[in-house]
Amino acid sequence: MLKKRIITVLTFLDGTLFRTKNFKADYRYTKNFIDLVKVDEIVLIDISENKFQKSFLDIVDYYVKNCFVPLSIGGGISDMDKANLFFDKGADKIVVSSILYKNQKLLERISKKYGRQSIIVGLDCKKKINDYSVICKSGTSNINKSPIEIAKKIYNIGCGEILINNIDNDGSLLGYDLELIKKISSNVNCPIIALGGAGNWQHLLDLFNISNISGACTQNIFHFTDESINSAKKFLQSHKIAIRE
Amino acid sequence: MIKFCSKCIMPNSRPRIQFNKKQVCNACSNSEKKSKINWQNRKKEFSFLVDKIKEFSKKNSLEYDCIVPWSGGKDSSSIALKLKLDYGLNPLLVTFSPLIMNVVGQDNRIELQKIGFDNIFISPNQKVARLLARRFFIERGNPKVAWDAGVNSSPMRVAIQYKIPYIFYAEHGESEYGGLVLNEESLKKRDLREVIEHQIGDYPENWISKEIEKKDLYNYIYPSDKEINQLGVTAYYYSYFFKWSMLENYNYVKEKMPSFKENITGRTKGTFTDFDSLDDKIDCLYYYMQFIKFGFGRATRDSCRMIQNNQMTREKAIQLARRYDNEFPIDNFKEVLDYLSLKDDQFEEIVDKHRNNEIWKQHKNRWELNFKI
Amino acid sequence: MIGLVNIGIGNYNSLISALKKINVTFKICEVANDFENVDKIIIPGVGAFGEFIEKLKTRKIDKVIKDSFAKNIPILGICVGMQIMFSKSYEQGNHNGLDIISGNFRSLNTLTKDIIVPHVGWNDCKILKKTELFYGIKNYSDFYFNHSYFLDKFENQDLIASTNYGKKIPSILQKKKLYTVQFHPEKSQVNGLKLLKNFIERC
Repeated sequence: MLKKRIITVLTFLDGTLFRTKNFKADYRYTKNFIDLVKVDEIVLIDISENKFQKSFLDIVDYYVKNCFVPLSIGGGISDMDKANLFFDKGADKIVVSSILYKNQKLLERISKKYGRQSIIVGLDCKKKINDYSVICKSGTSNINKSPIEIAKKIYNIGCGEILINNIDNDGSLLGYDLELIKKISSNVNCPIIALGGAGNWQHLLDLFNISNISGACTQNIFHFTDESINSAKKFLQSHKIAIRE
Repeated sequence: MIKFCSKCIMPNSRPRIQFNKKQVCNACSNSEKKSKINWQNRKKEFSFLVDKIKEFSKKNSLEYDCIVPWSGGKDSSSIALKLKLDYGLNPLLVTFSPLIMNVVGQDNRIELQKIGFDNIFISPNQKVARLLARRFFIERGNPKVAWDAGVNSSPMRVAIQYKIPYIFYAEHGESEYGGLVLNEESLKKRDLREVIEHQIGDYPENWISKEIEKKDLYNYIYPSDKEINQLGVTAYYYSYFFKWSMLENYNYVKEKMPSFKENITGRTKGTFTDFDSLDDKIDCLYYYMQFIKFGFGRATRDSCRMIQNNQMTREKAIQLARRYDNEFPIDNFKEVLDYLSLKDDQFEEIVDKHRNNEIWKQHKNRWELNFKI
Repeated sequence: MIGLVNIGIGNYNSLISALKKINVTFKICEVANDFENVDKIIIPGVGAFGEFIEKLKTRKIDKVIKDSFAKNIPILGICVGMQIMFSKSYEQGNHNGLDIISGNFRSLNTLTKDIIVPHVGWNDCKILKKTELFYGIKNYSDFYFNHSYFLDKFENQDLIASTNYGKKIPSILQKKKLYTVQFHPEKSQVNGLKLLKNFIERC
């Protein structure tokens, strides 16, 4: 049967690995301790102001060369050239902003050339009183549409996975936004992966137990070593979650 | 790009530090705000709190009025003494054992206890403590990650066991030294979210491995919200009620306890002071690794505090930082290596792995800082 | 000499990294003429069936594959590289494959109600017939899948391994020296690299 995934998300600012809090770079780290064996998948996101700089592309080269699990890359993909750039470098999938729900043509072009399963759409959300809205531009701009609406629209146009991230939970270590995730995953048949708030292994378990979520993403640098990932997987296995050894 | 605070010399590579438009760090901004605070009012607030505490103890027939997390150093000792001698409270001192105990720290604890304090001294399983110290030194360049968890959770656990709902911490690190303040209230009362995020960075429950079971982590795991809320424990920062100054704390302790000792070997390696952070032999390595990872060492740390208290000029601070930050933690080095079960060459390899390419570059087989203060 | 097919679609860089990792020398084959001296062929594939097969035909690589199959040259088709070996696919219309091995691809949407598409992530392969591809690899090992279409009609004798996703779907098939895998061995870490090595050394 299909296993649940644990996905390491690495955010880079001008070529330096950072963890973020509420989408702002917070704590710098070095890539020397990132496990590439036990992890199920790796996502690299460029959070620099000036993207596509050599410093990030060098990082991409490093992971393409050394990583034998799926590698997804994102950050500033706004046209076909930029998508091509990352795929040519060796990305298996790209992560694009949900603002692309407006750019159907681009999504279709990428789909046609690389397959819809090569596209992960990042759905960054923020809670506003009773409901959620989707945001973009690193959390600075509000799209003013509901996450479900955008998720459905983009899935219909064509994407492989949706990555749900709650800006408030980002870096909090207090757990995922289960309400948001449950809402979206029960309304669209797209594989969903979630990011934002992973603290202890119970948070991962809660995520897998309340929804048919595909993968748990963590941006928490303390989850990146093989010891940590091993520990997380053993915990999940002991609670009957199907996960790759 | 590394930038420095225009008032003190802390770089922006310090985790969570924030600079305003004038490139002044939040520790400096905060210390400026401190001079504008009506400390008389805060003192009054404190007196009310003390009365409330005494009332509670009387009503519940408690032997101790409050818990003071205590290392034996000048900061926690000054609080213990003030609470007892100036305010007539009976604090229970809670200590989480240093990794490698230093004679100076031990002697200072004995001296303070002679004045009349009870102390709960928690010394955890050394097999587990060493494994964790080694693991996190390798993975995070910080041998004290687990210790941080222990020193944070022990006072809370003892408070719950003894049913004492008041804890007095020293200073609020994030606002005093540059970091992220979650909200205004957290300057007065300790916010649990802050503890996990900033103090420890991880949940000790996650450290279960082939060699470590959940029961081995008892001393590190923070009590649950349920337990804390049931008793209604509040942890206060002394620095909210009284203007915090490292130097003044030291002077106060020396006055009440002339036998308080400084570093017997003189100046502490990596800095210019001899009276701060002395009770764990691993501390020099701890601060040295901060320098490796973030580019600021113990001298920077100590001098920034003094600048903020108007006890040193920025120029002098720069001199001291350039001179001492990079000093190798040679004191007790063999003992530290042994504690971490590492050989010399393994040690060097690990240290180098933690050098961030933003801060370090290699020049003719030597490591050099990418910047100059 | 191993020939790695590159027709300008998708990511064959992963395969290059993987082959380098297991110390295999190979040459990139972009047009029909590039296949001289090639005694084993690997066809990676991502993207849409229709576009992929069109490009193969434009470069006349389709003929090379058919001829190689006839000559018993071992061929490994990965994901879309697998799909085009078969008869037909109903992806974005109705496309004919190379028909070297018999079978039709249909959308996973038709498999069960409310199924999540694409089938993405790690899933295990149940070996039904012994295969050199799995030498030294445990039965039910996990491999990385990422696809929206599955092999519906096929010859039972060709079926080597199946995978459970709602229902059983074929994950490995073999006809003579043609090996087809629905998953991505180049993205399947240790087991994936072993499988590639097995193809190179034992098939």
